[in-house]
Amino acid sequence: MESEQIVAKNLAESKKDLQGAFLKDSLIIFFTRVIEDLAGGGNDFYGRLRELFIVLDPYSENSREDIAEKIIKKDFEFQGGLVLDGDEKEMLRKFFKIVGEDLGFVNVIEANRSAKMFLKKLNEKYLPESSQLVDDFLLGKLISFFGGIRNLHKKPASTIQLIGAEKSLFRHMEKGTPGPKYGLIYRAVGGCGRDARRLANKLTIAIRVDYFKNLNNIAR
Amino acid sequence: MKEKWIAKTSKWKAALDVGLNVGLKGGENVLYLGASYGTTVRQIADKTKGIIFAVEKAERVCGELIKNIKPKKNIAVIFEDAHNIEKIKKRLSKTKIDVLFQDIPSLDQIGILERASEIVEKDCKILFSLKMKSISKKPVKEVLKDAQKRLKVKFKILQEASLERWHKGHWFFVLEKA
Repeated sequence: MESEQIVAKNLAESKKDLQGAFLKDSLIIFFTRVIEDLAGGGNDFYGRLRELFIVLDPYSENSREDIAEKIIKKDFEFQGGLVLDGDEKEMLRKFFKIVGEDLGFVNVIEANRSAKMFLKKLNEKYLPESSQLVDDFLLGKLISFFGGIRNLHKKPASTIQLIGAEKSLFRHMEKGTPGPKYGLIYRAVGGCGRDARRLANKLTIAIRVDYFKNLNNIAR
Repeated sequence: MKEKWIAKTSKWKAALDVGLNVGLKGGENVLYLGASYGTTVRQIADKTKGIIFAVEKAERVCGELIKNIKPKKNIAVIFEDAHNIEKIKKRLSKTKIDVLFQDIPSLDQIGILERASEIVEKDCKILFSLKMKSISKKPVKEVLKDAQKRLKVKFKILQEASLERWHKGHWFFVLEKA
């Protein structure tokens, strides 16, 4: 085969594989991080929007001007990135109505409310088992901690139990102080170590069921 | 304006600056494991008329790589994990690889190199960037000694040097199959 043909063939195959590799948990991570940022104050969301548009439209420049133009157009018919269905496109259209030209939110309260509502819808659709055990924001935080459900589903229950308690964990390992009993899932169990362990055990199985049933769309 | 190739951002350039024999003659086909955003791949594409097979496994990074190498006509992007060497071999379309370069900072980077070397010929030049902290938290000298011992089983070490000046905790090997 000629070298130009080899280059073109590999590029086409890589683009096809890449499109299948993006998962819908990118949307869950996006809304979770927006809610977190809104709670922290500040109103420049170019970074978060860029994280989302790299998944939707990976071969574009994705500069400030580029993203602002895409948000105004509300088209979402991109080449090569995550394929959105009708409901998801409608969700993003409604959400981006609140984004201003400077890529900050025009109405922060409305942005917070919308992000929580869309996060709930996505969790019910793609993570039905896990969303019955913990609340939507906590589930989103657990997923975004590892950068995606593809990494999270491989972790054992003991790791999921202690996500967020790293400072205490390493202090225990280095200095011998008492070890942590829970991390982020404290929000769900209100301070009981035994409940944290049981919840982590159930949550690990639920995350794996959700991943293999709903989110794993490519055999790699 | 042509982009500068600097040792601080490229292990291959750092190896060149240290004095190792890692230059290209001009017609080599290169299998580049761990292409990342394409900083070094773009520079190498100007130095050879052969094909550069750039392998990268991370989705977001691969998207940026495809974007960055657009103007070059001799870079074949392979979106695949370097562990899956048989799948990568199929994508080469029986092209003979003259240079195998690996820069993957993972726990089993030597294992990846051993498997990758099985799909290249004996006269292939192997360039290997070793990140010692990725293998173990033990003292660097100890990790390096273990790595050298392991590499000598399947490879012949032609040259080696430290890249400490630009890349902390990195060692570079020029190898050939034993």
